Amino acid sequence: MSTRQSSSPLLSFPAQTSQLATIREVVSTALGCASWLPPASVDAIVLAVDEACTNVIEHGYQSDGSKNVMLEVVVGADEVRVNIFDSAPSFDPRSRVAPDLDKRIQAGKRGGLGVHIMRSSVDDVRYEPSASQTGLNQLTLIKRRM
Amino acid sequence: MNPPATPFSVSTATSENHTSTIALHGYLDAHTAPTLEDEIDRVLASGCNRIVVDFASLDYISSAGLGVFMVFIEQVRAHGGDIKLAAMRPSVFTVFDLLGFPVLFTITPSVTEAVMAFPTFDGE
Repeated sequence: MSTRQSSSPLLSFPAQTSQLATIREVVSTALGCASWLPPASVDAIVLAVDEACTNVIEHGYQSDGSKNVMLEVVVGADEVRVNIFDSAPSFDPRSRVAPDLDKRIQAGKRGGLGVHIMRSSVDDVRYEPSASQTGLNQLTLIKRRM
Repeated sequence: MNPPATPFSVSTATSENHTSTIALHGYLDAHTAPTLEDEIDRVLASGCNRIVVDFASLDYISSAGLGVFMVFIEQVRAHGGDIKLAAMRPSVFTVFDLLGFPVLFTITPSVTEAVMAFPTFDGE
């Protein structure tokens, strides 16, 4: 891991999908510090964060706008990390298998795609339910320098 | 912090070969996907099930946007129609490609090609 890194402040957003556009913009701006990161990788990280936050807002918090989702962006010389914190019931996205699109379409189901997109868009996904330091669930999305 | 303005809009036009073209503008995510869902509902209620979706002005899509097409496609095809997707920017196509949509949906470089990919309307 790099020893040179910069972290955004911990940012807090109400658990509403209307916040997603702001979240994407904030993450994209923070990733501007990583001059080595190609634009396609910025897009991929922003998409992964959107999917993660959507999952927390809609499924974790059931769109309860009195709750909050928090995130910080950590930019290093060799990798970027986005840490996402929530107090919803724990859900480890790594436990989900890739969706069978054909079967989902036949069943008229729309869900289950976001986790797959999130995992495909970054190099590593880590999850710590009720992390010891904060008591919050912590999801970490990592994109490494190629 | 105030959210960015004008995240998403749709506009629908009737095209040749008895198709409806739904043009998407802006950012399609979990917040804005219901707007697209309502528009497809409206088009289907008007009796048209030959739909082209024009992505040329769509800047961003997440899985919530893709989910809308998954919900409608079986119903539309059961009635002899289809939803064809056209004119995606590379960043938008990447998301569809990640999930394997190109195998199950017709995705064309232009709206014209999508319209012409429908069989000639026989007036049924």
